[in-house]
Amino acid sequence: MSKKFNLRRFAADNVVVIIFLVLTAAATPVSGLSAGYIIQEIVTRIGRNSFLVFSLILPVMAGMGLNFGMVLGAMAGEIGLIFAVDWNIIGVPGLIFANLVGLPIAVFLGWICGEVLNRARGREMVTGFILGFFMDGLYQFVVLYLMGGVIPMRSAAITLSRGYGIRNTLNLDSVRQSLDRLLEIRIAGVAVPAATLGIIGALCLFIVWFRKTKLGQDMRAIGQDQVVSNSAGIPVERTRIVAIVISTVLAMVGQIIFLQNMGNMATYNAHRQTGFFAVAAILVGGASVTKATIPNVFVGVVLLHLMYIVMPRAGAELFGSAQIGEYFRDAFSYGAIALALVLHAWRKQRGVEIARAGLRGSAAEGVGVKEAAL
Amino acid sequence: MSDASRIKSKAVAGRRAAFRAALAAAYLAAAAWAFVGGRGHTILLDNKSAEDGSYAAFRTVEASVNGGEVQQLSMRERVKAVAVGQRLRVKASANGRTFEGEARIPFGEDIILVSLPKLAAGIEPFWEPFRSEPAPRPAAEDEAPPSLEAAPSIGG
Amino acid sequence: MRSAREFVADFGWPRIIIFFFLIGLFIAAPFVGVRIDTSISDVLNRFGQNAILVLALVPMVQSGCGLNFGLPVGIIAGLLGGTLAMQFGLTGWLGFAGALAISMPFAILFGWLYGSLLNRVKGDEMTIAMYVGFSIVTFFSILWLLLPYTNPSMVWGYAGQGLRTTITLDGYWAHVLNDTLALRVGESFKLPTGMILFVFLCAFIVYLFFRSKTGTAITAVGSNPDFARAGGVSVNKMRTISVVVSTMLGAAGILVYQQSYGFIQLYQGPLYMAFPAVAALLIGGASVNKASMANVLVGTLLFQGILTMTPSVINSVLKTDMSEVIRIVLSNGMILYALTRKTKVSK
Repeated sequence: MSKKFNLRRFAADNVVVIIFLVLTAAATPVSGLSAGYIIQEIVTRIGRNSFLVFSLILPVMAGMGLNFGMVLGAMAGEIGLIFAVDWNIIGVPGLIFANLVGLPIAVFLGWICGEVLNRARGREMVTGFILGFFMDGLYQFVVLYLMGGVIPMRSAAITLSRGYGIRNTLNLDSVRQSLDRLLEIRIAGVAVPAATLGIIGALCLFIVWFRKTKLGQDMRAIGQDQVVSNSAGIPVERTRIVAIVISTVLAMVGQIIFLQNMGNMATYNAHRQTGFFAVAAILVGGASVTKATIPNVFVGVVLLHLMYIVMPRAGAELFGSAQIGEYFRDAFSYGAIALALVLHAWRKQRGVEIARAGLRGSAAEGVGVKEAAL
Repeated sequence: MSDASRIKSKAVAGRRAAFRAALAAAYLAAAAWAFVGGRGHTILLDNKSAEDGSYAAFRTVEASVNGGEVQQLSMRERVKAVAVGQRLRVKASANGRTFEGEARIPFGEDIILVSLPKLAAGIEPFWEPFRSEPAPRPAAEDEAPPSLEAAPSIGG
Repeated sequence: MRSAREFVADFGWPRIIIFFFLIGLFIAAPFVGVRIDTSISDVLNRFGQNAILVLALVPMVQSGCGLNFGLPVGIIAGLLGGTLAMQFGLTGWLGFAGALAISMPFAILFGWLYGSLLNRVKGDEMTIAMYVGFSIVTFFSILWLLLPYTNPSMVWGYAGQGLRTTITLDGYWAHVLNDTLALRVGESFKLPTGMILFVFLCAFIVYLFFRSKTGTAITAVGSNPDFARAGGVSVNKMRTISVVVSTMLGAAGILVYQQSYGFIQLYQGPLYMAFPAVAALLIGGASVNKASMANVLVGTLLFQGILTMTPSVINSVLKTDMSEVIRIVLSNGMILYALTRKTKVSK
């Protein structure tokens, strides 16, 4: 293959990114929003969302596809926050407390998720998706029926008036933006949450380091070929579970960072869209089911959220209805996920067909050789 | 397995156990630190005279808790402040004089009542735990959680 | 002869538990003041309402495309048919038949496109189907706002443009199937004979279809594509046909659902409609690659039975509304079970 830059190939590999670039580039001027506003929003949303998106990288590395089961981690984080609010633990210690409460829950849920996905090889993504729904039911059971009853709650302000169950909206004033405001730097009028970005930077370093460890190498080997890895002595099932556990824990931390920025939490809905957003972001950033890098995360978060910021306004300007803009962005986000998945599966299938044709060719050659020898 | 490798694996196992114990200890220590040091307490600053006349309220007094926002109180007024952690430092100023008091909030108390006249008069303790009747649960808009079929709106 | 143990292993513990759970609910019902006749009437009504949507999953399962989480593709075709028939002012039987007739070309077109897409992504159909479904629902949300519908009972009154979120079918074709030959017994029992017959008719047609030459070819493609290809069957063509049939049934299914429910639900309404249908099919004993008419009928009856009975019975026992949690855990648990089950290669 030539090393020359191949424009067609580059375009084919990044078609989702290009579509989103064109789309947002067209919608941004139409929206009439000021550059300052957009930049501030983007910086805020990078801090708010990228940690969550990072949680998807390890399972992709291990060949398990996009981990829709990350919503389990998000639920663990929410349970942590419920306790932090209930005990009125304020500021950064409150966030740390929420993480510490969420940690064992996330590890446990991640382990379950890993076990389940090990039984559903080849269809990890759809299984993870359904597992998220299933766990949503259990989460609702715990939070709506057990908390305040079987699990004691101190604060009357967060429980329902019937005596058990947590209210629909949880006020996170006690920890609101405590991480973002811990170290806020103003650059040209834009407030930069330096502490949050610092944590995200540390996570990037962790991922770079992790790839080089023995475990990271094992994961990449499994992502390439499970059978070969198994015969090379890598504990395939266990390593896959570890990948999911780490992903779930990262998702838990990510959800806590997300919610501290939002400042309140829809107790029963906050995690429902988490997986959708993270997956859409990483795919819009140019990742595929088998390859996800750190730049993919940042490009994806910026592009996806740029669209989320400008589309309603662009819709209002063009059609006189912000609602249409909102439907547009939803349709494009779902469409981007579908398109990225389709392109990847298509390429994989073409690879299989070429391999099959190649096998046939070489088999025929083999026969020819044999005949010649006779 | 050779003896040497067995000894080695034993050493590894020992190291691993020690590492795990240290991790568990660190986890518990961090949890305890966050739990104790991050606890928010409601501080009620109070400006009332004593019933027996042993101390008298100020006409107006300014006070702050743990270097927080300075609040102004008129006579017989009571305001709320927040103290994070167990340390409580109250600073008050009235009629050109300033008073300071320090205390440790006992573990498990949520609300502390601080009497500013007591602080000024040098009466120790100038604070007391405040235990109110459990407030009646406010009747809330308790809608049922939406179902999976009712699609949640997507928002960033 | 098969032993009981073998039967249990084959049928699966979850289904047996669900079956006895439903029996238990029916036994408990009279003791907590829930009327049995009303309950049975409700169950039958909801059975008829949902059965064709469940039936729509069968062709794709048989052809090896897996569980059709992209059912909304067919549902959208049905919604187009329904709204257009209303726009043309068709009412009563004519309205229902018109909606059905108008929706079919859309279903065939969408199904053909959708099938062609799925042929290019073999092995990843389910995840992609799910997102194709989500995409088409959100994309049509835009169209519902923009398409030039004018019938005042459908569009937003103040704007005069854009369809309402829910459109009532009163005065059009609400309950036309339900009320045909309906059998009333006493105060609270009503058998929606017409709808049930329609369901059986559809099931019978699908049954006959799978007996036909095309139908057997589809099953062959599903059970062993390489073998089918060697036998001269076009794998892609058969898969496309199965997807088209599935989409057409989905369109018919939503129309039957709507005439019984009395409303057309637009916008985000159909977003998650595939999931309960999939759960029902699996509860009926289907697996990811094998489904029969019996699975459809039994599964829909069991699943809808539980959905009807849990709110009334469980709520009166526990004095709290747990039915939502039970529904989510049950239906998704069933799908999880099917997805994680090692598929048996041979008996």
